[in-house]
Amino acid sequence: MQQSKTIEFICPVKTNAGKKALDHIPIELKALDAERPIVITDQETAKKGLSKYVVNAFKDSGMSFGLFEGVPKTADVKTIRNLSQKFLYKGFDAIIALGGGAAMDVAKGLNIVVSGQPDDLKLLAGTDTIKNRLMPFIAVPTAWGNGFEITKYAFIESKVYASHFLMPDLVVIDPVLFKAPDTKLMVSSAMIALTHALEACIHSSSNEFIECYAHAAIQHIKECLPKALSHPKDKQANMGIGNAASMAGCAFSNVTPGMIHRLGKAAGTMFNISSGICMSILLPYGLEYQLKKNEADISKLFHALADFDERAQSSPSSQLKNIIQYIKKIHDNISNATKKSIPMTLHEADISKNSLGAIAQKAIDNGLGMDKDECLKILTAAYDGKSIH
Amino acid sequence: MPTTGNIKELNMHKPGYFEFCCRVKTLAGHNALESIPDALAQLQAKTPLILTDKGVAGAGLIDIVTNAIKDKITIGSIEDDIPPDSDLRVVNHLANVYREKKCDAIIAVGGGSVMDTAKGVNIVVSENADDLIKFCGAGAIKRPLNPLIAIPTTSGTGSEVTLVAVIADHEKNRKMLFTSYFLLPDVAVLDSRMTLTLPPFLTSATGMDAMTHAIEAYTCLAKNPLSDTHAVSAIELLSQNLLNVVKNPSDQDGRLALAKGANLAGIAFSNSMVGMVHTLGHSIGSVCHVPHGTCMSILLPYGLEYNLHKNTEYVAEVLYPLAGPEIFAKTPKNKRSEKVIDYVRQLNQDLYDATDGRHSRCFKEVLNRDGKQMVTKEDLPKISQTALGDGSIFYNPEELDYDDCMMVLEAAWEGIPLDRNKIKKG
Amino acid sequence: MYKFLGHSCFNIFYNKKEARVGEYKDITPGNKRMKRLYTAIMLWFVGRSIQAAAKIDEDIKKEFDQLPDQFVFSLGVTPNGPQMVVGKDINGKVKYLGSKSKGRKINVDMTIKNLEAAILLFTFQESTAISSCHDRLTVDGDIPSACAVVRILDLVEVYLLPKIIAKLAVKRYPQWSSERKLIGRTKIYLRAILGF
Repeated sequence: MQQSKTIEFICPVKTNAGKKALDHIPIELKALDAERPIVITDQETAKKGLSKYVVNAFKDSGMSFGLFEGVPKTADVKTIRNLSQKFLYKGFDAIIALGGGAAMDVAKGLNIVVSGQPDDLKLLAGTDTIKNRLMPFIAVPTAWGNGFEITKYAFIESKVYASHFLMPDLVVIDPVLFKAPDTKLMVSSAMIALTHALEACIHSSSNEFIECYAHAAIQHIKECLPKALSHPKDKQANMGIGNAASMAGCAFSNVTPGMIHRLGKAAGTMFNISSGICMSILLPYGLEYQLKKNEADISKLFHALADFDERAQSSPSSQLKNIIQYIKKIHDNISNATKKSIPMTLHEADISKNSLGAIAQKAIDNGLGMDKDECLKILTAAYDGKSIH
Repeated sequence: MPTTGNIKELNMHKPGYFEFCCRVKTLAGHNALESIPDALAQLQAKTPLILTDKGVAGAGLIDIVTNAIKDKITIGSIEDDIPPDSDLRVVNHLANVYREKKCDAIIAVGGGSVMDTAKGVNIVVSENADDLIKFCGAGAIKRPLNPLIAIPTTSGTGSEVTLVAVIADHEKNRKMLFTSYFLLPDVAVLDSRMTLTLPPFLTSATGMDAMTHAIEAYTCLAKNPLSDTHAVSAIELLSQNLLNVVKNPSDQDGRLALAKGANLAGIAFSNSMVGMVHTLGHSIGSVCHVPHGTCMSILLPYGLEYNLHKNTEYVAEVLYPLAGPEIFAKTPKNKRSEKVIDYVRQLNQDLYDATDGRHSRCFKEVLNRDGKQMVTKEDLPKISQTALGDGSIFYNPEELDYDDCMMVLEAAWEGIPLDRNKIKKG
Repeated sequence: MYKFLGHSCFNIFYNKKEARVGEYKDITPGNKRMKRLYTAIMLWFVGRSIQAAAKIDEDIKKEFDQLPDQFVFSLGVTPNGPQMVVGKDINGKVKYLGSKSKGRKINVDMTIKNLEAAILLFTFQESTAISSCHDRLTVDGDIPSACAVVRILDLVEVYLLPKIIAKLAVKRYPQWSSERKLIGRTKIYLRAILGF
């Protein structure tokens, strides 16, 4: 009998997605033994008037709740501290986060503090430091997020918290909340989801369970991204992207961040460009590099991207080409729909060729386990927009 | 004819609204049992009560479990007196053992009835319940229960990932149904050693049970994108390994693949329900006591035939994971769903051959230990009547009344395909 | 200066009477009156129709006969939404028992999870089958009896609704003669409204 690695998978998140999903929140709270939630959202979401949908969902439920609409653009400890005092004073028993990255991070931070001690926020930074279940937490993603909403991560004032206990008990995806047609943000969100899902499939710790979520996310992107590009106001298409982001996040939380994610994030942070756009630029080149190095992963990735007919009819030698072509096709689609306003190469993104080394170094410093030369190969290809070999 | 295989946009089934949840942590491997002490530590538990039945213990499986964990934790007690049908008295007795031995977790090793009993015991000890009936029905259990680790020994019922438990109260002659996400085990441990000694005819029946879960989950009314990906993965693993493992029982990789497949199938169907194969299968089980897996294997092709006019495009898609890329490519689109039905029938035939006739292909050849027929034609009316009261009937794509049940059962008894012209189409 | 600002922010945060727009509020949402009213009327009408239909339709009569004595079921919206209660009295007659289930022994309790789901059901945007597939309903109690109740509801819907709509509400539209439908429909509507 060989010694083999035991595979692991966990997804604490329940998904409620579709028409009238918001209206199920009261009964879901009851099932979590809660009846007095605090609803937290950011100023952007509040300005768009989206809070009223949550208020409507609670009509007729007999429940009251607190509503805080002041989360700033990035999560900060002060907001969390103020909210925690409110939480304990008012006796809330659940947290609902409405909106994008910052609201979710604040909610996760708040959950750490109210489930334990105020000092915990400092002490529990890092990976798997949280040992207990936290209070019931419902995530209601709205507009385009940073891809980390439905993951085990929280980012609060340059500290990273990683624990599956931070993941929401329930994610609610309702089409009414996906109206705002900001195409750039939508594309960023979609490409983060796609990157997370694809990288999860070819990760060294990948397994069938992770792939179930990753495949579902990819299917959503395939079906909904073209529609959302051609019909920006289509709520169902936009909601599909939200669905994809949630499922990709669940897959992503079971592996460590991949190469394209790390390089994309490094580039994005250094040059103040959305990480999603950077990851999108890097995707075909990063994948090409990785798949040429590990050819066994080619059919795995093709399996994830193609539908049954395509899989049955493709010859193994053409699979890599088809994968790259497909990503390039998405790029073209995005380009056409946004009238070339979204960069498709690092050059177009106004990143200088000299800084590619620094991007690689930043990613390596943050944990990317690759040589600087390898990274430079990929970054250069992404700069020029030309294939690696 | 191989084409360039350009990737197009695919048509995914998206229901107007869906819910999906599987909070069970899965550990799978050839040495997965050895991860249990860490899993218990993460759940802040250290004294488990091991629950199992005599069959599992007799097969030496409990020894394998205890050997894997005893160096790192103290086992509270090992109880193997669980009957094939979960019983309230047993549940209450085991809860007392849990308390006496100061246990703080349960490890359930076995099949469906062990899992149900374990879930029942967990409710009693976690909620300090003196009367389990208070926790019946949806939404009655609202808080996490004490740690529960599930180790399935068949591949299988998938009960390590279902949120229901059925406990029979024989004194008051009623069955108590519990439904809650909090009933889900914290961890499901899939270790190939647990099914290594499963005899071929049980492997085939439980394997087809899992296959039915996956196929019904993919083709019935409540399907959703997440249950679909789980179902497809399950069908692939089961189809690629079932016959092989029946013929080569000690194929460890194959056993692990089947365990994963059954688990994925369990996740799929507990989130998208099942249909008439279970409606009729449950009823045959309760009236004639035919094992569940046998009912599923026999009825699967009939369920597909009956519903075909309503869900043919989904059935057609099943051909890819079931039969593989070559057959899928060779079969024209409009013939794929029928090919699925033929393939399932052929699989049943191959399993029949590989088990020397112990895997039944139709109900008239199901025999009990004394060689007596378990289902007679006279039983069919009672079975049809019982089927009308099975909850899974709601999720079947087509309506099913008494006459429809009789028609399907008669064909399944005889072992002849359904005459699809006789199906009343809605 | 920053300390001063911080201090006043703190005060504003806590003093809800002067809460700034975008900061904290306590909210107690009210009711959706029109939707409640519509659902209540539909439930009342369906309840009375079941009572009427049990008198004139053989299939429905048979289903009720096979249910236990004094069987009662309820269909309503949680938590305190409109409800309908129907059951057999001591003589086995099927009666609409009102809109409150408090104090009664209920054999089968069908709950619609929220008012919006009830509206989807009663405006026929989602059939009973689709509504259960969409996890909008929970059923507590004896499952075989619940199956009978759903069959009864389906049959009543065929009587109450024109074919175009009924076909969306049930899985398989039955092959009844136009007489059966027309006469039955008229009788049920009359009896339901007039209450005999």
